[in-house]
Amino acid sequence: MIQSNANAIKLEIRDLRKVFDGAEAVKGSNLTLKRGEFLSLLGPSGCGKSTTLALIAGFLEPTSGEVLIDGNPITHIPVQKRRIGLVFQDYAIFTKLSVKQNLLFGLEAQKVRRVEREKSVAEFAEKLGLNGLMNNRGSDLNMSEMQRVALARVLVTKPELLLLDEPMSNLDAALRASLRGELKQIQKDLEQTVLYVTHDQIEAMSMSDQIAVMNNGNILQIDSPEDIYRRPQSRFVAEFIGEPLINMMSCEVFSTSDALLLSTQAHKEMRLQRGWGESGKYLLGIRSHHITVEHEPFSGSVGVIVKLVENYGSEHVLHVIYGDESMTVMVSPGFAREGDNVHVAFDLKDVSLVDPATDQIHHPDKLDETA
Amino acid sequence: MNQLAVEELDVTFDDKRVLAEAEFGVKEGEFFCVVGPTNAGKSTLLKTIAGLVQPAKGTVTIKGRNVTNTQPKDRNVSLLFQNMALFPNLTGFENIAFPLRTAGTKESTIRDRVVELAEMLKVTHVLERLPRTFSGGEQQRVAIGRSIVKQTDLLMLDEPLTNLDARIRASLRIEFKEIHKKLGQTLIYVTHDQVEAMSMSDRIAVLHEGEFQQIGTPEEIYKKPANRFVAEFIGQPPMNILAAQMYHNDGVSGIEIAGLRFPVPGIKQINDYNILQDKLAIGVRPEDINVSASSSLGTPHHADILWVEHLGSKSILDLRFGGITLRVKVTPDNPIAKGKSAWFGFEPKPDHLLNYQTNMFYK
Repeated sequence: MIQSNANAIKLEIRDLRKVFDGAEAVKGSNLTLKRGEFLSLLGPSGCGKSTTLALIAGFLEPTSGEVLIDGNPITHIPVQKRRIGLVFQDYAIFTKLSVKQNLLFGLEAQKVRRVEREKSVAEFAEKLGLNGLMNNRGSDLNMSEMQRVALARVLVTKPELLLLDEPMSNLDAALRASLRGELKQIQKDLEQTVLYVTHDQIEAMSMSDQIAVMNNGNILQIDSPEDIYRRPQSRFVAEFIGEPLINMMSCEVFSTSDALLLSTQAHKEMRLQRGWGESGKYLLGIRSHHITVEHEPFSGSVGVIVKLVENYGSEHVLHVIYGDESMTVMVSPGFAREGDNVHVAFDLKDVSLVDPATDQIHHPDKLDETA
Repeated sequence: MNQLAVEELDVTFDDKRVLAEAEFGVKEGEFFCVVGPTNAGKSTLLKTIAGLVQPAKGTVTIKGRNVTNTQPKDRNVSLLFQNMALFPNLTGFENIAFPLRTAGTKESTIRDRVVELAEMLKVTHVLERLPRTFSGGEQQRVAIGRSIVKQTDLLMLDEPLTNLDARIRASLRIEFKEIHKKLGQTLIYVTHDQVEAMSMSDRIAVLHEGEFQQIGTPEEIYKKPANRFVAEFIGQPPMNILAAQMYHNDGVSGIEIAGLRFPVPGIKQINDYNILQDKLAIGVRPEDINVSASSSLGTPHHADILWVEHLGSKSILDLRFGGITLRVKVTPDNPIAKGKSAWFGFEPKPDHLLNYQTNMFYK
């Protein structure tokens, strides 16, 4: 067996395309996944993420392009020989078999020796907290247990690559949240290479080392969760990531010799660093927690009216009228009520300027006045 | 007067009680949310109010009229299911117009009403098209349009956003709330998602295993949960529940967790709580815990950082001390999130002292 080093590339897809009846579902995707890394393929329904996964798994044959594992093309290797583990939204577990038999199944199929089988099953039962359930039948399990069994019976076969397709979609919100942490912990402990398909940006943000955002068959951006959140390269990515939805305020930029001057409907000539600097009309993408809000006017603030309050428990989101546009601001609970007047100013860090013609984003930095 | 009153309602299926002693009222124009996990009895409740399920006992009163034994069609309520079925052979317009057509409404009124609603629901562009060309969000909006086009005494929605993508759900939540404000329709909204319940409702009823756990405003439910189930179900990440002991030392009293002490300022009242020492736990919200890079008055204890969940507008730290894991919410730019350990502290709230045998908070 070849011992691959930690930074080795486990999976690579090159110019992968898939055309169904003339419709291009995947339009030339490229990505690489290192050994032990967790990458999420994130996008709305119909963006091509599940098709990409099916091409990697071997359920579909690409129209063109290649899938490589450990640098070797596997495009023409049949599914069962790919050593890829799969877990889908609808957990396929044998309801008539016990949990233990479920876990043993894949190993028996691989003709692993009996002693080895028992050892591996015991090890993974422990890791996934299934010890108390080994003799229960699949049909007696609750959703969370079924999910863990589905995961365990794939992990026990030690796949080189684990593909997960919306594995939490059928679960209640509360359960999903607690399973995120468990899944990440298991993945880290096992150093399992994972490709995770989801439409839920919270799942992608919380578990991934890298996120690939997909839309209309294209991978738009691949970056760490932090960079995807702070430095989206396109309007689609900016609006798909983050809760509440990023604010998009109309604005105008004037490039001067020492700064960029940014004016919105209510704020005039806020200063940003030059570097890139084409004057014109843009959209200012700004997150609700990057807007300062106070009850009384303060330096650089403008007054706005609260139209709607959303309660999220530990924080409230105010929908305010800014000029004639709507904007969201994050505050602590009880800060303001509907109809209140409050005062807002922008904290111009991690600013996204969307070019309305191309939907591409520029990221000028805040101008440090003391420098 | 309440628009809807449910009293002592019991529903049994094959001798199994799926709703027990349900009792609540919904005010006119209120956005009332019933939230709970799968199989809590939420959909059964809606079906019973609509008349599709006959209760074993109890009454349903709508606008002062006892409707418990009337036919669904005579109740003047509308119910929208999670899997909304649009008529595949009718256009968006005709789907929305359907309830008005069957009621024999005047053509000009139908047109005005549908156009107005379509604008509000942002589906004007699909009015002339057939449902198979709609996206998931468009289908859902049209179905909602159909369920609200004819004003009824009560509108009930069963998990209307569940099948949609997360992004569409988030934007529909806000639109929903705005539409509700405009129409002033009395609404019961069923969901398993506490974020939907918290962010949209005037009042929330938490349902678990057929029993109402608590009914109150989002703020009340969040600040003063009635029991452990509510405390852990509402709020994300959930409230930390930690086994604790009381201590009294040199006139200072407080809570001890895994050997660490947390003074409680309101301790004088606590003595009246009649606390059972060996069954005491304390609930702490993740945002009520202070963390810092060094020891301070507010952060006297040390813990390892097990894991950090970066969620964009916030980060969640899993702190580990004395065999206990504590989830803490911090702002995304907090440098602590990059480290391996942190100092922490919190002020236990007397409202969050829990008897973990009964799972009730001390009053």
